[in-house]
Amino acid sequence: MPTIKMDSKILPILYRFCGQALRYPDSGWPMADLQTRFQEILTIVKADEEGQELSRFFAAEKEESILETLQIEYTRLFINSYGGVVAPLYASVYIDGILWGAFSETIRERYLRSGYSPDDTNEPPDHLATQLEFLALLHESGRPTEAEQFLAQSFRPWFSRFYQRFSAGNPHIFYRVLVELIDYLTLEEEP
Amino acid sequence: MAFKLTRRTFLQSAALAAMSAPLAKIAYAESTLAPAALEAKGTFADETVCGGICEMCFWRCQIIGKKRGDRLVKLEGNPKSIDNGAAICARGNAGIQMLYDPDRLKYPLKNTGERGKPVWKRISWDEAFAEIGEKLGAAIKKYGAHGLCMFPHGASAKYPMQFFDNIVGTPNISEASFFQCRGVRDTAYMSSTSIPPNESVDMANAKVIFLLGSHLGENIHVSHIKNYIQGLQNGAKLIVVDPRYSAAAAKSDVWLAIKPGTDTAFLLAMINYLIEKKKYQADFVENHTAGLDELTVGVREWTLARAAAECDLPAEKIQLVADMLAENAPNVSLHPGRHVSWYGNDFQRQRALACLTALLGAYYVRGGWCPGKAPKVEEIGWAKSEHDEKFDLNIKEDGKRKYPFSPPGTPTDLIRDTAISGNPYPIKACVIWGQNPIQTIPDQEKTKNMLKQMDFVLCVDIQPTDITMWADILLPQASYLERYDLIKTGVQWNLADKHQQYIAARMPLSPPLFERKDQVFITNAIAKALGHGDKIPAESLEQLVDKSLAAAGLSLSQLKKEDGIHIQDGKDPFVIPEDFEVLLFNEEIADAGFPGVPTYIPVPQPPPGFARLVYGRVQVHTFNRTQNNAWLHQEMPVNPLWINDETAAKLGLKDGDTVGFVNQDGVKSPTTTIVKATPGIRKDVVYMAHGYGSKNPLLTVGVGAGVDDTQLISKASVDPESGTHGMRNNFVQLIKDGKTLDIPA
Ligand code: SF4
Repeated sequence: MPTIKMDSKILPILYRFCGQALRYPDSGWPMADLQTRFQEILTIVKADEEGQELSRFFAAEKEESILETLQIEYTRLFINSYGGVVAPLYASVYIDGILWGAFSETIRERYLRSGYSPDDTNEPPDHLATQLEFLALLHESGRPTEAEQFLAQSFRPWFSRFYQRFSAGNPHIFYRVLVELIDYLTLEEEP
Repeated sequence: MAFKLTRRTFLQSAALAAMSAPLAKIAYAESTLAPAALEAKGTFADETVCGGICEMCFWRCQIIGKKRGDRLVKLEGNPKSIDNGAAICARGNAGIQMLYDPDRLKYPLKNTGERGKPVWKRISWDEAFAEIGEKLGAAIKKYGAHGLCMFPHGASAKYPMQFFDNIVGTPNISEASFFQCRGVRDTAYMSSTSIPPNESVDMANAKVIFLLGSHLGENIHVSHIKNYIQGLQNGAKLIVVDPRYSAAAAKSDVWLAIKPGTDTAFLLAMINYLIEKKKYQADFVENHTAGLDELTVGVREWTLARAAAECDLPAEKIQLVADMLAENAPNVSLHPGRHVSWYGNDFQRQRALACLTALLGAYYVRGGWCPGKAPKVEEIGWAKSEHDEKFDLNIKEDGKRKYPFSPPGTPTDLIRDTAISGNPYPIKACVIWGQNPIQTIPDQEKTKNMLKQMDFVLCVDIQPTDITMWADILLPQASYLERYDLIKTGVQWNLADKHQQYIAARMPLSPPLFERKDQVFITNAIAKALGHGDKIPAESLEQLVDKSLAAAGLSLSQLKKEDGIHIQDGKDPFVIPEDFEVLLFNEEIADAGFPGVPTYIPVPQPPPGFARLVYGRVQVHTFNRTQNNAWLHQEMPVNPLWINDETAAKLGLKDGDTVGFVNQDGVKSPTTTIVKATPGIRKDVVYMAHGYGSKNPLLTVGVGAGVDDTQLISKASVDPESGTHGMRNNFVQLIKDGKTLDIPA
């Protein structure tokens, strides 16, 4: 079976990193660090065009307006938008057509079976960032096979639909790079 | 894929390894998963939560929720309920879909674009309140409290409405439930019987049920429908007066396909007939009415023949109905209606209905109009205060009221016209709470023009309805399944059963998701931002409800122990209060310059080539409030156009054809719907369900589905006594394949 390199220590860190980048960009959000890391990652994967587009964006505007642009874009892409929200970050929207559907519960059960529980009951358990954190936890606790199963059985089936909807929504370069990175890190790789 | 490296190579690269410390600095900043006890698969037990009160419509059935883990999976009627019992309607069931609708509002939003074409940005509650405090505060400072107007609706808007009314002190508040719905019914009955009638007819025990333009069976309010069906099961005769063969007409013994707008003439003819033939309940009239002489004179001209001509009905049928009512009086249910703001002559029609009910002696009797004796709880809220009458738009220069029989608040058009003209004063801030004025108030352009000239617009809602596109700040409210609220009191649904009373308070069946907040939290924070923090009557909604319950010797914790509903012994409702009196002639109305006995005022008729547009309800929707509910949408995705089958044939239309509309003012529907050709509607009328065709793309299910009838209601008739809107004096032509079709007479 095609696998990702299980002994990598960096993988869970990347999952978590992406999860943090998926948080709403408020004033406490580590924008400068995120920018630097993304540029470095894009250099490593030789995504030169994206790298240039991203640096143009960050260079062109003041920090405050960069943050506001990202806030408006985040709201449009993931929360509510005139014209229709592009792609909510919750798995069950793609499987059940509803927030907190049966699939959210399946995901939550999956966390519990591995010994984790979401600590915020106001937020559905199947948020993309929470699932990335779960994958990280499985790796960090030496359970790469479980992580692999979760990816195949639970994550990819909805994420691929999310990815399609997201990509069709003309996303901003920052979120394009982020979601592409998540796709890259969770896609089954050919042997 | 823009990434030109295999993942394996990427993960093993030295460059990435070198980044691990700086990456980790960000990666571990926040976490959402915590270690928990291991649980085997399938260990979630289903749990039942009590104390819900449905608000998919205003009827407020008592419900319970079934939960699996943290997820609410099913709603049911509370088996302890003596009102709706274990039953709820389709919309009640679909509350789950409302709760988990991905399109619902989740966080406070700020509009960084323009009103009507918003560009939303999520903001924190603190930022939202700071901005509201600044902008509302500035408008109030500059223009006075009356420079602010409010359009509230529903249980959740009561507390904020009291705040803006009593504490901020604006008189400019207009509720759709009054001015575009039932207000004219209430004020007409108040002027006749001194009591708003609600829908308190004891249909279950009636010998005859009389429905004037009612949608019973198309509007499902569970205990009301149980009451109605019980009456039919018990053998009550059903009379339905409606230009359309409605769900009720389909069950009727007598259906009168009346010409729209002429209902008052029909009622007056029956009144005249009963008086002439002395077929009224003489004892009741003697003891509990005043003004029979004036009424007798006032209705004399309305012979059966004259009404027959005016209403386009056979005279014998009018007589038949009058006789059926007289023969079965006083045990007859004349339904007062609910949404009755139809033609702008509605006050007089509702008065006629109240007076006819009196002639039949059908008050406080079995089968008649009879309110159950419900228990009392205390109303806790913001301290009351008086307004400066100088800013009351309903008061003329001579000190008299323009619309003397207006429901509470200010008639909608007085607010809109003043805001647009700035005369007699500017209205520059607007708060919209749970109402969707775009789809409830006729003449959408006027509403938009009013909003365009505002300095600040605040909307609070559970979902992105059409009006929310016009907000500067949009706040997400917790829905009825996510909050405490409202105390519902009442009696057993069938008045013939053992007399019982109940008290139920709304309790959340699910915690509020995302950052949604209830109305007390939001209003209190606005109060603090405007410098009124010292006047806050309760710190939380839970506390507010608990304080109200205390007056009845109850508490939320006690209610929880009683499975959400407290039941106690009741009282016999069939006892007429000694001082109950129906004013067949009302001097106050006459003094104000209006007819003191019920009077028929003819309404405009369709111009050639047009048909009157009449709208109504369907079982699976509560107007635009549920249009985005995927489950309900599935049941009825569009609102078919009812058109007479012969007319349809002449126009070359058949069932299922797609049509659009243009109205008498040239307003075109941007969307289309399908044709339902039927013999069950008059030729001068077309009909569709209200609450479709939303314009807000945020409502991904409801947007553009069916036709928005309100858009076609560009001409609002104003009822002269009450200032409420009549919305059925608009006329349409059909558009098929780009061609406008004249509707034959
Ligand atoms: S009638 Fe239906 S929608 Fe209305 S409160 Fe009852 S269950 Fe809810």
